[in-house]
Amino acid sequence: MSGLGIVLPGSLRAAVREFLAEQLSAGSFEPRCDSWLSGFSPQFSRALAARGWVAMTWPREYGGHERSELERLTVNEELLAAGAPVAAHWFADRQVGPGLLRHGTPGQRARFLPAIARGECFFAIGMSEPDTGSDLASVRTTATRADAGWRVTGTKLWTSHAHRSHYLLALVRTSHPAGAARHAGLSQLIIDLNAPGVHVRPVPFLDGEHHFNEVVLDDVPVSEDALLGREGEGWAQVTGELAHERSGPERFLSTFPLLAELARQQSHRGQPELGALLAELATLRQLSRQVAERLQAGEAPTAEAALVKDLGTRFENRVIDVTRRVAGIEPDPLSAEPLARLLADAVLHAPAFTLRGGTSEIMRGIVARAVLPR
Amino acid sequence: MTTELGPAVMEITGTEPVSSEDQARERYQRLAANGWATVGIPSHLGGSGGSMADAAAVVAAVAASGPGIPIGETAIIAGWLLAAAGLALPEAGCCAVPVLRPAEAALTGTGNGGLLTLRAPRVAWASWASHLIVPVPLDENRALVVTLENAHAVIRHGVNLAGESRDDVETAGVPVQAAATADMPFKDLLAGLHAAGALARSIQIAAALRRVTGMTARYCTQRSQFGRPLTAFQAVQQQLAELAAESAAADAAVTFALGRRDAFHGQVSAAVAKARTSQAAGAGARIAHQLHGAIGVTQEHPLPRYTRALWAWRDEYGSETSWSRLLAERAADADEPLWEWVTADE
Ligand SMILES: Cc1cc2nc3c(=O)[nH]c(=O)nc-3n(C[C@H](O)[C@H](O)[C@H](O)COP(=O)(O)OP(=O)(O)OC[C@H]3O[C@@H](n4cnc5c(N)ncnc54)[C@H](O)[C@@H]3O)c2cc1C
Repeated sequence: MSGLGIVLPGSLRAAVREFLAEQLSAGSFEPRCDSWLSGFSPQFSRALAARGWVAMTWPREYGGHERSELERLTVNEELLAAGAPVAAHWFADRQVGPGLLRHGTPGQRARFLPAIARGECFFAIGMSEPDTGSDLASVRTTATRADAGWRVTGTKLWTSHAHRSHYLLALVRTSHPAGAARHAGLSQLIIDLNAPGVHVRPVPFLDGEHHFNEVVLDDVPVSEDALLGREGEGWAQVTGELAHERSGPERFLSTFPLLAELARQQSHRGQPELGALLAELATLRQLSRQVAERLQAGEAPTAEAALVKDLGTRFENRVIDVTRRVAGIEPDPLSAEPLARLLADAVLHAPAFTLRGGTSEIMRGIVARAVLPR
Repeated sequence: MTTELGPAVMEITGTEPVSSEDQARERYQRLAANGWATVGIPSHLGGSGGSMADAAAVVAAVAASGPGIPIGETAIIAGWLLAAAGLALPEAGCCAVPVLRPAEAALTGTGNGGLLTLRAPRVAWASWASHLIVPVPLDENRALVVTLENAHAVIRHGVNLAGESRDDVETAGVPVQAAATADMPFKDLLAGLHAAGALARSIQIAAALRRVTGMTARYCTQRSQFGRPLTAFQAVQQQLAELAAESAAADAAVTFALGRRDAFHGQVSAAVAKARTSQAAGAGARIAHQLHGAIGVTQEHPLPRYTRALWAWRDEYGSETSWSRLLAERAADADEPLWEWVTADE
């Protein structure tokens, strides 16, 4: 889209709002809680991409728009606050693109980045396994050397949207260096989800929705150029990106559509509990912004990001608690009343907030280690 | 709480939640055939005639197997409402559920030939039951309780988070099956009914939370990360302890309420039970999910069958907020210092 390169964040915000209002009145989506995980709409992602709101910070050379982290944050928080369906491009935009820019070969960048930026190429993230959750270094999926690359065998679990993504960015074991730390010998591979030997099975979420999957990799052939970064450096590469994953507005806005609906109702005006939520929200936006600025400066504020995630996901839960106390309604997914519907969605999705992307207990461990005197 | 009934009921329910409506109906039929479904209703009114403690034991045993069965309504709440007016169950083998919050209820004509106009939101199990039991205003000092076939009602289906029917009900001048007078103002009848509902849900919450606690403790000994069972981590131990405390508190609040003799329209015992168990439901479900990790948020896993029930039941017949408000008001209204009110027998 023309002209966006010189638009200031204030008018950028206005442009996103105008777009969202158009989409809403066209009925292209219904505001939902947790829409960044469950609202998967390739069409909507492509519409965003056409406006330059995907791949915002990447170089133009790769289809990006050379915007600042703060501009990206502005667009993303507008989309989340509106409960818009952004899941399709979310993971590629947030994690895979930055990973490719940092560690990818020119060939890999040219192949994937422009397609991601157009909203045409979607990625799933393959870290967890049946026996590997919090302890990520225990992954067992193994890539063994074959003539023109590797053959990969193992099982990835909880892989969000693998059934409608094109590629899987997988953390796999490529060697078992004797005597070395457990973190050694891990690598990141880009696996084509249509390759022979890839079996994607649905794992329905507790409300029956399908976004999770089990991805069984059965001797999947993977070519040499599927390796992202350096062989054996997977651990450092993955942990280096975690600050991007944990500090964004999706870690505190998952229940914002519920809060907005609550605040819209006149009868709840002036409730101090609502005010307390607003103070926390302003604080979280500030914290998230500070992390974005440090990311922009090339730093890796891992502990600060973990802190945003812990505080932010607690806030997401408090929105539910306060809504229950103030509104006194029963959640009902079939209700004609938007507040009862949004509440039902929020309550059912809430257990995931403090698990995905690293659990609160793991976040607190990271924060605690960072505040210890050295 | 009498516990001897528990095992007998568990023989029918087993320990697994029902997974379909057909299975739920089949389980309910077997409970009814053995007399458990109406254990809180006196025998001269067509029920099985147990004590409140018996009814509580049966409701707890059924809730421990999961949601999906209208036992709280058919045993405890219906029992209180029918007894308040000395009205009998409409017929043998029926499933009669009470209407607790009529937005409008009016009877024209009298007695058994009366015609009922009713509007009531979120009536539990209306679309499942064969009959409804409805409180109706009569005069300043008395109320009516009437029964009718629910085939006469217009029902808009709704659900709670556990998938249990919570239906909007309307009738426009339909014939009632039977009517009887309760010697208390309509307002008191509704208050007592609301309290009976609150106690029923409190019993269900405490029972489900006990299952959730056991399930979570077991899982934490089985799951390993970083080469150790989850129970080896202090952060996990702390949360398990908090979960166990919430579960124990829920049980204790129910035991407290069952041990008191104040009639339901006094509401205070039910308020304690529901304020505390609803609090425990949310806190307990949160911890159970946190400790289960991602496996616990899948549809196949038994945990969400229980936590979805906890999330639903905590808001039904008054949340912790509304019952806490009532307790605070009662304490403020009492003419005595707080400690004396806290320690007064009834
Ligand atoms: C909605 C959702 C989407 C997800 N999407 C993806 C995805 O796309 N790709 C992907 O790879 N993964 C995904 N995950 C998986 C997610 O990363 C894991 O759930 C998470 O890392 C936790 O692992 P686990 O569920 O196995 O829990 P576990 O690691 O088994 O933890 C269970 C409990 O023990 C605690 N615990 C574990 N170790 C410690 C310790 N050392 N100290 C204190 N407490 C501890 C945990 O905090 C937790 O409370 C998703 C998860 C969810 C819920």
